[in-house]
Amino acid sequence: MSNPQWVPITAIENLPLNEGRSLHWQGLDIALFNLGARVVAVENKCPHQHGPLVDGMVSNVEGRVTVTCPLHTRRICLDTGQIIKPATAGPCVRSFPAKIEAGVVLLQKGRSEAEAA
Amino acid sequence: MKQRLAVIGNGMAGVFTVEQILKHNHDFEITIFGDETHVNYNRILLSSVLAGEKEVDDIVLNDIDWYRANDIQARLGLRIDKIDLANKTIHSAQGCTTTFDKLLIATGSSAFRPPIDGIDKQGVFVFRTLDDAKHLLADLTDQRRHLLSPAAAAGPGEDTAALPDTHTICGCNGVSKGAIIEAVHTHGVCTLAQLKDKTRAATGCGSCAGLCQSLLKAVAPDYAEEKAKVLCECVAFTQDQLREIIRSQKLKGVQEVLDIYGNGIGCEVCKPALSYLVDVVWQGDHNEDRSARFINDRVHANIQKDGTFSVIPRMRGGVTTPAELRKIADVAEKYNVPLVKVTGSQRIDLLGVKKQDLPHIWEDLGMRSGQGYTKGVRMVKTCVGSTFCRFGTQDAITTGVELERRLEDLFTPHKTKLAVVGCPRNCAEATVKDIGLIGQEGSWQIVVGGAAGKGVRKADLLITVESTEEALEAASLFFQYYRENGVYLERTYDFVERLGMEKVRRDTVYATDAVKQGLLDRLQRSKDRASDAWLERHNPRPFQFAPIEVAPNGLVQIETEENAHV
Repeated sequence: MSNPQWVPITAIENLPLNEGRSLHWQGLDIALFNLGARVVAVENKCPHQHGPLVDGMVSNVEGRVTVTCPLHTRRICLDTGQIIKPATAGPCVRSFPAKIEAGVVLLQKGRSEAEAA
Repeated sequence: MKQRLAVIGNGMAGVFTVEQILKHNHDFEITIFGDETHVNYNRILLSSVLAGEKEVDDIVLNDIDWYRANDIQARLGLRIDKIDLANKTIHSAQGCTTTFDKLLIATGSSAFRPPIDGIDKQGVFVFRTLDDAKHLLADLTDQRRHLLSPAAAAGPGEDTAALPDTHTICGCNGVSKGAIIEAVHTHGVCTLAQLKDKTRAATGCGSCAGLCQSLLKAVAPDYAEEKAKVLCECVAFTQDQLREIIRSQKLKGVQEVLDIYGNGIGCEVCKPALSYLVDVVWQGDHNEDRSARFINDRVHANIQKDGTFSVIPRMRGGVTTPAELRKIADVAEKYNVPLVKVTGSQRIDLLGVKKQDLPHIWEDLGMRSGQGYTKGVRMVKTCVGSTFCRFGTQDAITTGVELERRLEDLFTPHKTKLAVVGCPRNCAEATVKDIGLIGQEGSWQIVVGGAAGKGVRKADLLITVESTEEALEAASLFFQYYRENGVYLERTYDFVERLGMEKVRRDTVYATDAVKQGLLDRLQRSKDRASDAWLERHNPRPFQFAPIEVAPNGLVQIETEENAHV
């Protein structure tokens, strides 16, 4: 897809540091996380039992930034979408291109990282 | 680019050198490593701490604000055990690596243990660090008897060997030396915790713990010294150490603790524990960090398996009114609540509530949060008592409602369930609650550490008192003592077993007036700063409850109190 369109979502101030906030985006429920230097956007659904990742705590597992699902403490790497604790070969959480520009959180229209790969 | 200066040693010499560097126009990024958890203190004055003339805080030379003001990274509690000169890195025993341009080693000396037989035995101390002083002081209070007879203190191992099998080791629970040896041989007991579990030895006043330990050492083939359990890998200290660190270093937020003593990020294990500790140490005058709290404590409701929440309003003592019940019914209908259930705690639970409805439901109910989602004061169950019951001897309802009013809105190491009954028939099950008040003719029994969960445990008697006010005070003393000394996620039934009831009584209801007043004052300070969590509906955090609305036409707005979407 050429000429990707970035859509302004919300002011970064509306995303408290190291917390998630949810949003409906292109027919999906998305969890946005403010990790300080960057934001990440993933589908708001744990691959294990569909727990709302947006309500999870941002954590650190062996140097990787993760979110811990609030239902059964599955820890999901926010960079790869993989459940890394307990280690499983199961499906990944879909992630979406997101960035901060001039204090505004932007999401890219029409793609998820999975489709782009 | 700035030069990185790493200083190994956070003692007087290392810090003094850094102070001299700071006086000059320097271009260093300074990190100081110390294997003690304290900031720089005056080692020469340690004996004054031991003598009780000075408190730990009095001998601090550079407090944590000094490190901050001078942009110095303090990495405390880290022991450097390797220097790699080729790559210019230093490595800590805990596995962290730091790169340097310049390195300063100012580790000072360590205490020398002369080669004397038995020098490694319990009761023999060296005296060089603040922790040494603390260990000595702890031993003085716990084992005064041992110090009065130096021979016994120096060689308890030999002592146990000479004892006959019939000799009673644990006087509180009548456990003999033979019974302990049998536990080792038949159950493979090899730690003190296992011994306590199997024989109940050392679970009363705890004064025989040392004797049990040395007996185990002598007879258990797989004897293992108990390692103090650290909170988690992110911040590798015990909760006792962390409490002391938070207090003495004046750390008021979870992130500060993680930055200075941990890996800077934390996880879902350590962050809620640290949140609890900063709250209780500073009696509510801390920096609340919601990112360090579990979702239940961000939205003041209990998350359910489908991502919805449950709402339990406070109903002190299980007493309600027709008007209140009508309001609850109206709310349940208005918000299509899928399940309304009477709980085991004499309250009403609305289950299956959507997150975005929570603040509106609280507003419509106009009732207080029942804290049914947190490690805090759940409820005080009551029986009818002398109000209507023909067997009631005490006014259980009024007393229970008052007890709940005094303790509600506060956090505890784990959930705390209470009950007040008006007679020994125990209709509200006070004998299996964390704190129970049992009325009888002319007096109240206060019982603690009961459980009716995974395990069932009958609560232990704390004290019997005559007046209702004394009963409420005894309950409050134990409550605050548990808050201050319980390990996060430790229920009262594990807490009283760990400490032993004798110690609990001695430190609460039988403590000096000054100690009791201190507990009550700190409880009151926490209480003064606590409030009904559901009042947050008037001042919600941005998009805490409802999803973010994508800015129309790219117009982005910062959420404020006035325009907040709840």
